[in-house]
Amino acid sequence: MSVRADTLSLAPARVSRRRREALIGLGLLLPSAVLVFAFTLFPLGYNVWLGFFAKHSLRATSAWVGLGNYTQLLGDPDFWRSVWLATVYAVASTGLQIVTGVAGGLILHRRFPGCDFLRGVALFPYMIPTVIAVFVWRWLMNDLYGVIPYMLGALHIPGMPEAWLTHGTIMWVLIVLSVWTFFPFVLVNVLARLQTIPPELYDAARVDGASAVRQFVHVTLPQLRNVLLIVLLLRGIWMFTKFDVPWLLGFGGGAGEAIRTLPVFTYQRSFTYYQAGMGAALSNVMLAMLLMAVTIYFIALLPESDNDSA
Amino acid sequence: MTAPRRVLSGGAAWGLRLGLFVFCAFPLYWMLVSSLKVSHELLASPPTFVPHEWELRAYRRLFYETNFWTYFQNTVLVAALTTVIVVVAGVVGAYGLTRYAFPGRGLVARLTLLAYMFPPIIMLVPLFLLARELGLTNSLLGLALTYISFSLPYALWILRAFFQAIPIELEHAALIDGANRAQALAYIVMPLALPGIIATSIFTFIVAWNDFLFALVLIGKDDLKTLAIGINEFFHMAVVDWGLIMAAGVMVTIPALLFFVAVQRYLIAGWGAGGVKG
Amino acid sequence: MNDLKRLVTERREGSVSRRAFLARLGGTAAGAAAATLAGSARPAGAQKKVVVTMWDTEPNPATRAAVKAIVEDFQKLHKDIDIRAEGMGWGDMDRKLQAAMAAKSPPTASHTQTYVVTSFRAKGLIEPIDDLVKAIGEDRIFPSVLRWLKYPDGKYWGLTHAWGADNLGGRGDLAQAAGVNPQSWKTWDDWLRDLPKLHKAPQYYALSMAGIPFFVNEDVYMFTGSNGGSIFDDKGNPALDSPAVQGMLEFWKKLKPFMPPGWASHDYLETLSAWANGKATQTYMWGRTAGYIDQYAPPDKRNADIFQMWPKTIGPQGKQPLTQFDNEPWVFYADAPADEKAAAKEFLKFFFKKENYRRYCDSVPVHLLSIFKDDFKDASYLGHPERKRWKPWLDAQLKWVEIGRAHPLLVCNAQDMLIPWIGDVAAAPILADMVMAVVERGKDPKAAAKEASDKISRDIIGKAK
Repeated sequence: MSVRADTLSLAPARVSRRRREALIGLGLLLPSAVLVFAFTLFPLGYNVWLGFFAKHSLRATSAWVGLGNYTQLLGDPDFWRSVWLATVYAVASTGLQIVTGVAGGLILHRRFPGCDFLRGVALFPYMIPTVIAVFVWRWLMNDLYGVIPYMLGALHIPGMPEAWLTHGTIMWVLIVLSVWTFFPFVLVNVLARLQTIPPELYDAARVDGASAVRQFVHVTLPQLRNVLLIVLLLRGIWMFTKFDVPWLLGFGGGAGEAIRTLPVFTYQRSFTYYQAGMGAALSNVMLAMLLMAVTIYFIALLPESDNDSA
Repeated sequence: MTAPRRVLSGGAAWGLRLGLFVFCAFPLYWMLVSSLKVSHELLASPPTFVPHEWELRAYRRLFYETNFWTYFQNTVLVAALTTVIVVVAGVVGAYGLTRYAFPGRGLVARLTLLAYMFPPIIMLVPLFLLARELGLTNSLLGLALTYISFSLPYALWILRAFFQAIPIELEHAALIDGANRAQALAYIVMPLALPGIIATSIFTFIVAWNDFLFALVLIGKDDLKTLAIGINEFFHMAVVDWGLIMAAGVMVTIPALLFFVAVQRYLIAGWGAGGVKG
Repeated sequence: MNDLKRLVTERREGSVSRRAFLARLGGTAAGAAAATLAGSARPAGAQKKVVVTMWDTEPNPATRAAVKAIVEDFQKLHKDIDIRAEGMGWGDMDRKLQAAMAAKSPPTASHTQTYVVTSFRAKGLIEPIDDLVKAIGEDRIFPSVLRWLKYPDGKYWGLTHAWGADNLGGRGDLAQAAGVNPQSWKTWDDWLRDLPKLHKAPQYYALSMAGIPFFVNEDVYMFTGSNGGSIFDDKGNPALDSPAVQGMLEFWKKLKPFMPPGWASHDYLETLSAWANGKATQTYMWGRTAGYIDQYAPPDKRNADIFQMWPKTIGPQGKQPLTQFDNEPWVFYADAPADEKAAAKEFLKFFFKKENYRRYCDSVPVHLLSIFKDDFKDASYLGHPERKRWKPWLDAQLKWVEIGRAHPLLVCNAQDMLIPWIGDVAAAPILADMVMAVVERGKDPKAAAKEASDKISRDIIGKAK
């Protein structure tokens, strides 16, 4: 993307012409702007407003409670537990996705017979609807008939759990299943970046007698830095706010109680307790967390150029 | 492409490739064989890795005893509508964003990136309440509008990157030759941006194809359900079994697989410029 | 310019699918569009029809086919009425109905749970249907069925479509091999004493129960009721620190070692198939389990000698065991137009006629049991091959109705039926969380009960007032 975009103005700039340019440009953006405003920005504002009400999700009852929803949340151990669970899930699953994605990128980077096929296979979990991915894993991990507990049991490792979809272990299943589903996102971004690393960098390292590990640490990793930072931000946000995977794995109760992350907690407040105002307040809390993460990211880790890396 | 130094010996490299293959493919293989096993073998322990007996009972049940086909059609319909609107609005918008100067242009570009990060769960309550006010619950159109609003910023972002990569000199040349803006767009820009447009379509389609949350909240009527929520309910219905659920998985996966093989080239090109939300 | 052509073709295809899309825009628009399409496809002469929307909770294919056949026969007689009968899942029925009403598009009539009848009645969303109950034959219906339909105002607010009762199913072959006589069980202690003999993990487990909240709720109130108490006090406030509930929690802890290790994530489906295929000696089950037995059990075992009905036991405070009554009634919505409701009543009168109703009941012969007493003396009803084959199952269900110990979901004491927020307690995961905290996380039952009570008071009763 070396060619800089510019306007199409051929003649020397004149005020009226510039204004016309601007108007056309804005006009072309208008349909998108209207749609995004109506269905994203407006609801977002509405949501902030809703957070100050005790409102039933289905009935017309609604009452102003000021900061009541927020003060209740601060004192609610269930809320803090859901924040904690969402954090554990986001950190572990994002970290493992990055490790798996980078490893996969290194495996698939060089061409070999069947390379295209394996690349296709590796991307495929990402294409499967979440509901299918989760049910396949529920089936793989089923305590009575599941093939994975069976195979793990056959290893006769002391202390191996008999069942995985239980309070103590369901978080692990959630993490592994999420890595399986979402690591291709990391993989593709890493793969795209790896192919643009100039081979001369490796040549130089080799002349210096660097080992494979040193080449990875001193050449590959710095080159991947920007991609990985963006991927870390995006995946971290998306995993922290992921609703469908933990919900479908645990249905919000039973053993699912141990993976009642903040998004699941928010959904249940909104649609099993019908507390729309509380649901809105929780969404606002998530939004605030997200904005904080983005701000920290841009201040502390801002890569030199912000759009050619992802 | 010259490879970096041979890092691993052949055997170890193939071991890693095999490991990656098994990790990615085994769950899918298991879904397929589970859908084909006869009932008692499906629940047998120890499980059989290759079915001794196989049958299409689960598939017959899927098509004759559930509304799978209705869900399938609804999903395709919503995803197609979403994709068409997002691509049209996205192409027009991205063209405006890259070819015309106006105040706040840079800000809009940054906002699209921010909106791309934006997780849908945050919109859960307000979108539900608004959809209800507007009579858009139990409506595939309402569902499509929701997906459009989530996909559009991303589409703008990715299309903007593709449009920026098209040398503006080509358009200058066309204009000098007497073409108008629309012609320049149709004959110069669009063909060159086609890989980006296709990639955008695919990603948008996937957002709509995979969504569970909004379909769960906005759709209650059985004949309007999409696959994600329809299949979820198989799990709770009294008539259903694991074989059936796995068969549903296979039937959703096969079209996705064919589609994926057909467009993989564009997909990876587009992915370099961003990534599908999820 | 090939690329351009391709793009044009794509767009053209896009517009085609958009036209197809218009036919299904959904919501009210879809109704109108579908009606238009259907109208134009039909021969002229089909003028104004009364369109009746009826939602029931029987999505299984055999029942759908029976309902469809009954609707077709009805429409031959009533060309001016169009019955749209749809099956819906019973899991989140309450939410769906509330959402439909919030969107001002309720059905004409629907199935629902007893606690939803109470809640909707209190809000004026439904209306009494004495005329319908009387027309169908009040005196022919089981008193145990009518009991849950009549409110203190003396009116009937619903009409049960068919009933069933929950039972403890047990494997006769395994009991015999272990030298256990389940019919001798009276108390929880009797049962606990024999559980180890019926347990041989991991080949089979003594008991399979579901851990998903909806099903945990069922077991909570059945155990509590069998322990002589209720989860609510006289005013409808939670009574979870009562000896009956505390004893229930302690009891559940003792059951845990005899259940599959992953029970907490099991669904209803898994408990039934585990019993059918020999992974569990016992489970709480319904008549429709017969279908699972035919699917999963070895052919020589598909009979009532192997798949037996065992007694439910009582806790230390209990006098009689309590079981769940599956008795979803038809209710009629106050907001629906009068002509639709009149037409729906016509349809239900037709539906409950002997020959039609028999088709419906026969679609799941030992689960959708007739609400009419006389059917159980009728040789043609009892003579259905499935009812003969599973005769002990039928008898076990009938016994609950005769002794009046089959209660609707979450209703331990009869007066609990009038508590307006039971439905919200049923929808929330609070009771299930309490059980999980005690059984799976080792929390003290008193503390878990206190926490659950506080949540019910804060999040449900507090919001309802």
